Amino acid sequence: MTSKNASNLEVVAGDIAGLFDAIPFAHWLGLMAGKDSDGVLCRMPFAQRLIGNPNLPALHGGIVATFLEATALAVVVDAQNNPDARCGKEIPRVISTTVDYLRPAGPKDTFARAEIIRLGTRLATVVATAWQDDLSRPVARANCHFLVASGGKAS
Amino acid sequence: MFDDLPISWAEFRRRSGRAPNGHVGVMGELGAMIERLDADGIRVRVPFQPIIVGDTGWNVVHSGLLMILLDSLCGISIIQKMAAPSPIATLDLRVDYLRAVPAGEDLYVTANCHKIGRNVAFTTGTIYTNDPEDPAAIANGSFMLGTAGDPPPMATMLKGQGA
Repeated sequence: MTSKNASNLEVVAGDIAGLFDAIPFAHWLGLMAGKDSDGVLCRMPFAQRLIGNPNLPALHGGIVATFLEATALAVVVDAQNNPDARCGKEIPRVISTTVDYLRPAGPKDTFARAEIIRLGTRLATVVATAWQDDLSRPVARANCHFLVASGGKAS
Repeated sequence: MFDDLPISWAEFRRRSGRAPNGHVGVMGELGAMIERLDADGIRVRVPFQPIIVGDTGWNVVHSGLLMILLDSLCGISIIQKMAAPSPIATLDLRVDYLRAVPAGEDLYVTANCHKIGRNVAFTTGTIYTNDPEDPAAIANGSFMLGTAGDPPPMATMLKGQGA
């Protein structure tokens, strides 16, 4: 996929499209999920409230981290085919997330994809990448661990 | 400047010259209150509200919100300690989610800057609810110093605050 296509791509409706609408905080941030021929693609449309440093301006680092973690979650939920999780209920619980910030994220739409490195019976390890104009110049990457089957409410 | 705590995040941004056109950021919109801001660190309270829920089945607060709080607070803990104002940017942030935060509980966030080097500063942050001894999340964040942009005005204002 070229970078031009990536930034022009409209997130298309699919099975995963309703996930972030069903998660109140993801919905509040305006996160969107969809699928194309390359798999799950997430989008965070620019909004003023996402700015962390108004003097640059740049998106809030914690919000970029949230977007990456949400994208990793969407990929796990998509792989699991669990109807409840797709409705935002009893979704895989995140255990830890590590984010590397590679470039400033400007006041514009941000996109992300994620790849499952390992999906076991209890744990999923996922790497997510976010970019803005150019897929080959990512703004941040994250490594996330999810508990995919807790067998109860306690982690 | 900050001897009348607690103050809202929005007020903190206004006084620090970081609220152009009334911008208060996500922390301001979430109603964060600064309760402590001194040489020993910073503590912020975030009141529960339904929009911060992350799972309506488990009925718990969203993990991303915790990252937002920890990133913000770790950054301010550095600015608080700086000898001279300098712009900073998060280099990496690791968050461990020790337990879920049940919907309805207010969140408390603390952060400390452990070292300001020539290029990088190192921080830790913690989130808890009712009991400081039972943290919900802990973070390690490192930040680049002297990055692009203007130095944060609050760095100058915070001088003389015991930093």
